[in-house]
Amino acid sequence: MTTEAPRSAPPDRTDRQHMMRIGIMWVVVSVIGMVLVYFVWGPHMPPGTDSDAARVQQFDNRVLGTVAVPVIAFVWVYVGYALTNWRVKSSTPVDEVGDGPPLKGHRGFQAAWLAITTVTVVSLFIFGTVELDTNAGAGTGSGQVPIFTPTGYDSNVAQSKLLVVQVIGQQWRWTFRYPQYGGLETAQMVVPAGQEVQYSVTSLDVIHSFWAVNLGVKADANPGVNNVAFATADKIGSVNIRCAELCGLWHGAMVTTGQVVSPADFKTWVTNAQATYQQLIPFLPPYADIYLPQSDGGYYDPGQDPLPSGPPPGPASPSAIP
Amino acid sequence: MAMDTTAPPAVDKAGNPGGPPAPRAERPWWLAPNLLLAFVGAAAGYALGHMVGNWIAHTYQQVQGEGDNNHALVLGYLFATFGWLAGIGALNYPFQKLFGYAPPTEAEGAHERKPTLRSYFSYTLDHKVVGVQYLVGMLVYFFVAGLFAMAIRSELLSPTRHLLAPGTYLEVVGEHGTMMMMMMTSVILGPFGNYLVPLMIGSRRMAYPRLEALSFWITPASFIILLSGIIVGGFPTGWTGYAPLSIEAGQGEDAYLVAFGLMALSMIVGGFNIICTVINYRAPGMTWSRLPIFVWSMLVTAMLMVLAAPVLVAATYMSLLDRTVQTALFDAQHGGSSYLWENLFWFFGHPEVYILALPGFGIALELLTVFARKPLFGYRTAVAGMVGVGTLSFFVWQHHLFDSGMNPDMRPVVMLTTELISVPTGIIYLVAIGTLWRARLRLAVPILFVLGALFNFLIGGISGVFLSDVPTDTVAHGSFFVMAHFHYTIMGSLLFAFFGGIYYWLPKMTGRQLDQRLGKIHFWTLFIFFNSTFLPLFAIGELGMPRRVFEYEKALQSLNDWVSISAYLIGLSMLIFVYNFVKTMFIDPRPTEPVGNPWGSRGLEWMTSTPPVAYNFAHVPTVVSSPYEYGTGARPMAYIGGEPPGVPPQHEGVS
Amino acid sequence: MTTTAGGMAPGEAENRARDLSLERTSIRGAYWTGSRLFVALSAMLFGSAVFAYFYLHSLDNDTLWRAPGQRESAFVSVSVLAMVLVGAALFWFYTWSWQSGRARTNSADWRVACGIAAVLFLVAAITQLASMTNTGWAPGSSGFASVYVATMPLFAIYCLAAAYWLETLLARSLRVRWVLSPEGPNRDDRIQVAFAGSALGAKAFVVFVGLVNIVLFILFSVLN
Repeated sequence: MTTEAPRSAPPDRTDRQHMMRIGIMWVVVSVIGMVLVYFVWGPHMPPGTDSDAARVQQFDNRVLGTVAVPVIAFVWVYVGYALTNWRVKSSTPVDEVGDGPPLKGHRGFQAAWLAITTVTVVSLFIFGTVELDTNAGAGTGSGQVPIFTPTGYDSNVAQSKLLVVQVIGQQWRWTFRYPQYGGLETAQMVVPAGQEVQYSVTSLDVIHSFWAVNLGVKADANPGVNNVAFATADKIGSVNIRCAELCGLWHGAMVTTGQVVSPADFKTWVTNAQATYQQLIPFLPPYADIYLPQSDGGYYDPGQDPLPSGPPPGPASPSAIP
Repeated sequence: MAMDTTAPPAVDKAGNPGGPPAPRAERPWWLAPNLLLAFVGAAAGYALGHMVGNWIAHTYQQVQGEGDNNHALVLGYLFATFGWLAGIGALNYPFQKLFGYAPPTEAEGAHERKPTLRSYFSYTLDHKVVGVQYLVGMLVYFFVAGLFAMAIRSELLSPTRHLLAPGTYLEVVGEHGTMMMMMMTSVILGPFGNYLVPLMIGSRRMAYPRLEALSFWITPASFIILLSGIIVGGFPTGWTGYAPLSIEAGQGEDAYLVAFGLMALSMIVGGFNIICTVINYRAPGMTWSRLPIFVWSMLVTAMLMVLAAPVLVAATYMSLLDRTVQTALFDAQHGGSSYLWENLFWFFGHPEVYILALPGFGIALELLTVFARKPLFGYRTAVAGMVGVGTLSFFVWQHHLFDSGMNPDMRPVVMLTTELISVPTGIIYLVAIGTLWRARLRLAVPILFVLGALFNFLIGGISGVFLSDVPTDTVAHGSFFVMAHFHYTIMGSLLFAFFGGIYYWLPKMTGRQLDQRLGKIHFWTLFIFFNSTFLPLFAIGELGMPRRVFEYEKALQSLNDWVSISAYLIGLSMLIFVYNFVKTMFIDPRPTEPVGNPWGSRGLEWMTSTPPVAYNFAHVPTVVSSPYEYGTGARPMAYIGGEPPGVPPQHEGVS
Repeated sequence: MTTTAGGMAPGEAENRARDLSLERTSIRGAYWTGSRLFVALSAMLFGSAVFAYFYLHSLDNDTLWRAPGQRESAFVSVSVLAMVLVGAALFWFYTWSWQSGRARTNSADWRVACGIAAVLFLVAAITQLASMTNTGWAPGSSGFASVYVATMPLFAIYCLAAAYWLETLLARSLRVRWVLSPEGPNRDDRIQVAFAGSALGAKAFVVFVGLVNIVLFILFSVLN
């Protein structure tokens, strides 16, 4: 970029001409690519739009995908240009190739590159943090004491205005507990549409990872840890639930299907389920954030989160549904 | 060791110097350390260790209850390793040292001696022999682990299980992952680092040749132990060995832990030697700003190995204790925590990722200048980039744990450090782009692989940004997206650079050049099928397929089948390489004239004979210019021996 | 250094002398770098153990960080600490005075100090390991017990390593007696250079082992 004497290129263009040509190609390819990625591909990106968390993730995928286009385009356009313009036949004997211009660096170019990459990644960091903050953790497992929470959250289940679903991983099953409905435990996850749900994920044995694929929820299930994630499902339909952390022999088959139903259907379902499992509930360990098997066959009870004594808060009123 | 003719004076019993050194008696071959003895030692060690373990633990409740005596197995593995190293001769000098013996000195004329076939199977102090041992070893490990990958892809041809039982599938996944991840840490530092670093810095030896040889001879032990895990049922934890599962797993887990720990040991001693050599054995005039960029990458890689691998040693050791003496470090119900393993493992594991990436960058930039015939663009920036990557890599490990529920407050910080690491990584592209500007580019086979590596790493790096952003990572974490991402960075970048290095430096190492036409076929098939294998895996992961599963949604079958078939074709492409390698090295007649410097490189490693003599250079060279002065009219990089007339005096130890 | 002059190319003798002189510098530097690097990587190893200590302490899972009454035997921990510190101080001081030449010490003093230090490290390691067989609590009974059972053998291995290193120095100084003489005829010989480098490296290493022992003493015997 400093040398003006083209020792090599047969069509002898100046540095500036080369730069212009590369620049124009790059801009054209980038603009086309960015438009295509953001507007054409973007709306179809995973994980879809079945919940608020999934929508955030899809939006982030779109933004990052769009930002990636000019980066990839620059390298591809540049290397493609270099390969077509500055290439010597590979059969040329070594001593006849000659040397390129002895360019050892270019202060301005290097500084600009560093500045642009730094600004880009810092912007991405700010973007990611804002997304995490404004979306209650964007569906990720946020630990025992989440810092990004939706309104109505309370670490004490009894006071929480959210519907709490405790997801219990065990080799090789998921079970779901509804503390606000008498500690009901089922093998099928049913959640109402339009209501913010708090998934409290824990494990009885090894590490699992609760992945509700189309709800955009992923939270590791650790023994002795209560890992909380939030999401509001808005489309009635089924949920694909998988285990995303290797947990032993049947990890690959630790699959189940959950249901997102209307609030009215949820009420019906939960009443029926309570009736069905009524006789079993007393045999379950009392609801707790975590369950650590004890040597006496019982479960460790840290003495937190007693079951709410009053009537369950229930899902939000039907008007909350979009 | 020694290279001068003035052997230290021998001493008599009273300690008075004087008299000629007594010649060492040559031992008969069956008493000298050799490979056979090493196997015998390993078998005897295993038997002894197993016996001791049984004696200690046969009354323990957990042993009687399960019938699994982990104590016996672990002690068996450790004693077997000890016996292996004793048999190969690695313990001779440490033992003699106890009695004060000085290292044996080399005889007159050792300088001209060529390594014999036998020395390639022995514990040797010649760094070039160790380099070749590493090269062959790494190829063997890579191809064995690659076969496991073929088995995985065969199982995934169908969405339900059809070929391997679930347990077998996990064994195969674990063996493939662990073997690749632990062995490939040394895939470039082992062969090329050990072979080329002294040649490139103008040294006649390594700083610690015994440690260097030790680092190689641990790898076969580690490899065999890892493979032997299959005999005792394999391990179900994949290469990450997450804790509560690894504690409850069967005996194969011991093999994983011991093998990985041993490999960490090999990394430590190998990296240790490289660091000491680069810092202290540079020729006069080889200043830090003239150090070849490949040597810089080796230095930073070695630094990461030496500082990160001890944490892995500690982690595997703790896990073994949990499995044997029943400590509760990873057991939440007894005051331990499964997070402890995740922290320790990834504190090693993320620097490891850069242990795997940096050598690839080093080879890429080193080769780019030669084939572009231009100086390296922004040399200092490139060095700063590598050091920056190395430093930052210690501060990002928690991005593997974004969803784990551990330290949610830390996530923005880790997101920042993780995204910042793409700045120094981007520098590699800055340097490559600047070097390509108006280049005189010859598309020979090595540079094809380098360009392929840069292409693949770009995709790997961009996909990494999706993993550093918490919301997008939530989709990708633990899915095939991650798996595709690190195959792009490791296989796409590191192994492409490794093959580029083989095509580039094999003429130097052996005087034979691989068939270039077959090389081009190898490159293009590998490049096309590599991308056709791993690009769809990004989509498969995003669409909801977790890693390490044998069952997936039926809708993903066509994509998975495409991937599997492409993976087989990668296998075929590798066979082309094997054919080319075997044909050139073993079948073709020895070339009458060794290939000298087929690429026209200025590098110091090309200034000695081909293949290099035992002590690399007749005398320590004097370096007078940078290796990348293409087109500047600079003098050749170095003179062998002292300063030539008319050259301004150089001082040793300059930096 | 004498070189035989018979049948050499011109300049060959000078070149050989230069090679040798360069190598001496390199050997000296390699021991310095190597010993510091060894200390650094060992610090990472013990750092993992210390991390485990504080991590499990802060989590206190199942309120089982430490079961009541779990303490290290004061007799063992104090005597090990004393042995390690005395051994490290002895070796450090005599190597320092031998190398600096400020306090003139004769070779026998250094050898005796080195030997005593080696024995102290060896006995400290054995004491530590022997006490582990009889702690009075099960290794898995608490987080504290687990970390203790995991860390102390590592430390004992480092004591053994120190004992080995000092023993090899002692043995070398007995077999090749002139390595200790400051201005003997072979001052520049590579064996002497390597010996001095190794002794200085060991000097740094024993200080490190002493520091590790102090940290472990604080963790397991002082903190609650």
